[in-house]
Amino acid sequence: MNYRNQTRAKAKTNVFLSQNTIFWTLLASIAFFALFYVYLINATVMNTAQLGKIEELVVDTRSEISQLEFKLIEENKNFTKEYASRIGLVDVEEPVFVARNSNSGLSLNEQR
Amino acid sequence: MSKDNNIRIKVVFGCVLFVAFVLIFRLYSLQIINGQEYMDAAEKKYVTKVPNVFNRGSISFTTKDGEKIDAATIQTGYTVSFNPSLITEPADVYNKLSFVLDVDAETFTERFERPDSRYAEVEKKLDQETADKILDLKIKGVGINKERWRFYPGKNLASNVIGFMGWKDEIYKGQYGLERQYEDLLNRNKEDNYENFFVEIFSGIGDAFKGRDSDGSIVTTIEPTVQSFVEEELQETQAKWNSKTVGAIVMDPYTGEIISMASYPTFDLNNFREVDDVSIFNNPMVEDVYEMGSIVKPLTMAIGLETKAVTAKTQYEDTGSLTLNGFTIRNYDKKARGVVTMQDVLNKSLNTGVAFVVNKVGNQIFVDYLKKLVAEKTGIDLPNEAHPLIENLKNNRDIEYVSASYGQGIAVSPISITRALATLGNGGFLVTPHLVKEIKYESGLTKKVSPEVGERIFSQGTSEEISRMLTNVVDEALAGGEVALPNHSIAAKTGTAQIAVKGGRGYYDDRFLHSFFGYFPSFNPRFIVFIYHTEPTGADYSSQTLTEPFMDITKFLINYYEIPPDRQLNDKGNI
Repeated sequence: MNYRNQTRAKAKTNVFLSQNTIFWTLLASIAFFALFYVYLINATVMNTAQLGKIEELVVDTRSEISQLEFKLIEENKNFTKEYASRIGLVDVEEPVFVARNSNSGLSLNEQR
Repeated sequence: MSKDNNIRIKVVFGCVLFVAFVLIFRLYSLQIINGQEYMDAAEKKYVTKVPNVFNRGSISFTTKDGEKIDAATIQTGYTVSFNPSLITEPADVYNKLSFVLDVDAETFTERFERPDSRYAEVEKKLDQETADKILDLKIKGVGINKERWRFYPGKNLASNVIGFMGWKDEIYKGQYGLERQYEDLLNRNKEDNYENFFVEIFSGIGDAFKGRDSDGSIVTTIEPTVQSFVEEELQETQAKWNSKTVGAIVMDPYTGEIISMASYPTFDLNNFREVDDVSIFNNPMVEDVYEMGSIVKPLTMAIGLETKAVTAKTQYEDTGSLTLNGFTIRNYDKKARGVVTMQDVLNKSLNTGVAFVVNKVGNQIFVDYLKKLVAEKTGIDLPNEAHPLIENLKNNRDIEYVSASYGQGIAVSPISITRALATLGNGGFLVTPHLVKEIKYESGLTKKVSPEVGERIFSQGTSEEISRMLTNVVDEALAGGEVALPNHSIAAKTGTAQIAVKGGRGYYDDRFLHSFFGYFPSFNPRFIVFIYHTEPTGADYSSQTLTEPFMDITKFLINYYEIPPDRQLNDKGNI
């Protein structure tokens, strides 16, 4: 009888311990996931803001590059035939054209 | 219920209560403690209807190597403003600001003394460095606001094509050109409901796949270096001949991609408000119609070849004039040349010759072909495309058909005639001219734009034969054959037309339109070039005024695109 009571008490204690563990585990999980959720939301907001900033930077940089490109186009206009003559370049009397699509085959090595 | 359960319930209840308390406190803080501050900030944001954070998709040019250069983009800068009610010593503020800014004392005082003013701007569009210097001064009542605005790095380049943004019906939006045509796509400040970040991303991708993505940027077919060269050439032409308007189109005859579309006078897109005559904002290449003159003759000849009514060797007797329905038409020099061939009709630009072709083809067949070529709008992706004026062809009189055969009595836009003339070189297909080759969606997806090739008007044989005839025009007739290139074949034709009296009948005696078109290499052409100018002074014919700019553009394109030679002419002009 005494042994039976002892076994019951032990079983009750195990159930209680098990319920207790589950409760605190669940509570810890809730806390963990809540904090993790807060972290993710925070990270999302931060990254979104960062993305916006970077996009703005990209647009500004592209704008600057475009200005430089157009400046380059303008500067290229100075390289005229007259300028070429001034620096000593002369027209080719008999221009030789190499057509890109004239012959795409391999040439024979005629060296012996 | 056990004691342990009570504790658990109390812990859970405590947690819930704590979270509720945090939320209520946050709400209280937002609504009551800092409510006014946020309301003021919101008010300040919407002082004007221009959204505070202006954003818009870009418009890019494409270089021949495929590199993208932004032609319309966003620029960021800073506005310096002050609140007069917070400033006690305006002279002191002015002195401090004048070390950094070039501010006029009178203007500053005038802005300061405006009654009930709480906000006045000192300077706009400042760079970051200047803004930092002003911030370092720490002047009470002086503030710096970040601003963004539409910026066109190319300034004048392709201004009529790109267009600009302005106010219409109290909305700031694209007003001309591509800015207007693609307003829905470029606009980023739509009054959409707020969406969750994730929802925005995933619904955006979904929309893009379903073709419903509404935010994007456009990549055009315009090549900036070519555009710049063509514009300079037009400016020189205008200065030399004192023309009223000058325009040019460079197009790929097979795809309809516009490489360059330019007109002069032009304007700086960043300073369009300085323009007095707003009509120069329009794009005459698309929105205006003209009687094009003799550049229509190759179309008439191609119809004759296609219907087998004539060949290049067909002969007729040129009497110098022809009377139809009581009207007499004459050759441009009023001279008769006797028995000549169809090749001579093009070489010498004989009006009586194309009248002969129309007679051989038959009026109705001729009109049917002409309608296929020019009666409809081209469908180019620019706003306000003009509808061709071909009402005269409904009169059913011989004189109307004959007039149309040499480009009088019908009026079409430059883009319309360029498309029609492209059929001569590309094997007879009607293409859809277009400026946008790619749409880059915000979601990261890219859509290639390539309109389908339209109806075939002429056969390959006709295309080759008319191209050969037009090459002969350049090699033997144009400037006496002096401008022909020994290594590259060019097919071209000039046109000179009388300008119709505006709102009246008949033509001005002293006002002409000169036009010129050509494509090269003559067989399998890379480009078609069209140039025109109105009311030039100092020369009577197009061959005198437009041969030089046409050849300059042609030589530039051959060099720039490294177009391989397609023939070898000897000193006698023979291949």
